[in-house]
Amino acid sequence: MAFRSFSGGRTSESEEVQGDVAPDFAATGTGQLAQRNDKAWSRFSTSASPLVHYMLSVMREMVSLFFATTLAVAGDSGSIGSIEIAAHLPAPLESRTQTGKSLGACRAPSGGPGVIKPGTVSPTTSSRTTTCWAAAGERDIVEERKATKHCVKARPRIKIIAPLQWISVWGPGLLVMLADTDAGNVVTAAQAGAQWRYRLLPLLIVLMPMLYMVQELTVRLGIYTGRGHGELIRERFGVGWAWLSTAGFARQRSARWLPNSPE
Amino acid sequence: VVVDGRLCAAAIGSLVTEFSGVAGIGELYGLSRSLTLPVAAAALLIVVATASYRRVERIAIVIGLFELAFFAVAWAAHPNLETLAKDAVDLPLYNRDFRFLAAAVIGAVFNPWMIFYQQAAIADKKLRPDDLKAARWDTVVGAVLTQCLIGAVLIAAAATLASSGVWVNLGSIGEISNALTPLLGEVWDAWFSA
Repeated sequence: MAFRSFSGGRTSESEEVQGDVAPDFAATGTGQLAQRNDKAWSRFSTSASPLVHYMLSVMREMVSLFFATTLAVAGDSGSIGSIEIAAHLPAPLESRTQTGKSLGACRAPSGGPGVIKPGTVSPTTSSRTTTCWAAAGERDIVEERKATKHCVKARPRIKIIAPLQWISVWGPGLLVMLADTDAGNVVTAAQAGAQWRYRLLPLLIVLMPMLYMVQELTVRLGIYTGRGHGELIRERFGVGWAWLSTAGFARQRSARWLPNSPE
Repeated sequence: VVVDGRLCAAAIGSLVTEFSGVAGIGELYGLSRSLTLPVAAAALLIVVATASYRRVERIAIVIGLFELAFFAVAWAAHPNLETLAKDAVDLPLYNRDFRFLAAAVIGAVFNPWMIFYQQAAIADKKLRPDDLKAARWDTVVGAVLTQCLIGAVLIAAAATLASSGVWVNLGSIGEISNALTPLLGEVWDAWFSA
């Protein structure tokens, strides 16, 4: 139940989160709606099975991500604006004293989000970090940031203009997807087109959100742990599973085994 | 990033596949394997020895954007939109071959190395929680783009190979290019293999 750790725990922590961010929600206005929606959401989603729960939460995140960014682009009180505002607030004392620490030094907490005590974080930091994400209407991120608050605190908060920061972040996702159109994929698609004309085109569109779902998991794992996938599998599940997970690399990525192919 | 034996073995397996692609494209232009393979290997070693990850990433994205030529190929194939719309809602799910090819398409889209690569790249870039939104959009745009590119290949193949009534068995990049050449012309051939 590895995926549970990302979307699960929402209900158990919701009371704490609400208490923490309530003033900020009131200040932003848009947060009130998000909060209400989230209550209804958690009531609905806890009754579903874990996999359905996860898929629904990803779809919900995609929708909220889309709307939050549309707001930000339109110049409304979106997430990017809030981040810039938050950057102008005076930094808490401990963030200045711990700026020397690198990302490698601050990993995700060992016991999961539950072990983080609200008291360990200063009120200034907590309101700052929650404001910028609460405005985006993304409760998941608020919780993830709670889990890694010591990370955020320990790293220097560099004031970068938002577009520049975005450009510097872009790359891994685009590159991995461009690399996905490899020989095997192209040959399979051409075979599909030649054999079934346009009938497999809808499938390619359906696979878009699935591809996002899979790769977005690695984005979160990479950002919040700062380590590679194989390393995490070995640590969490043991050497055997790590071997099995990399065995997939060696499979022949060609379409030779397709029906009606010469060999 | 941990480097150990199993990753080495896996990487070698991947390299062999990719190098066979290099050899195939070289032979498409009449270049022998004994020339293209050492050149590709030397280029790879130079990249590993000298370039930083960020620079490699930029170069690779620029090269990868040449794949936008797939859209031009699909456009030049003049797909019949009426047929396209009709086919899109006509899914012969009862057909075993269709289901098999659908499974092949799904299998070709998802690759285990993509998971490992993207997480390693993100860890390498030392992205912070602040970057999550940008990194997610990076992934969204990438996912949509790759599926559109693959869709363009499918459209090009469907418009040219299927409608012409000639049955062609496709097994490699070279065979696809050869099958499309008489229909799209030499210009598109050069683009297609880019």
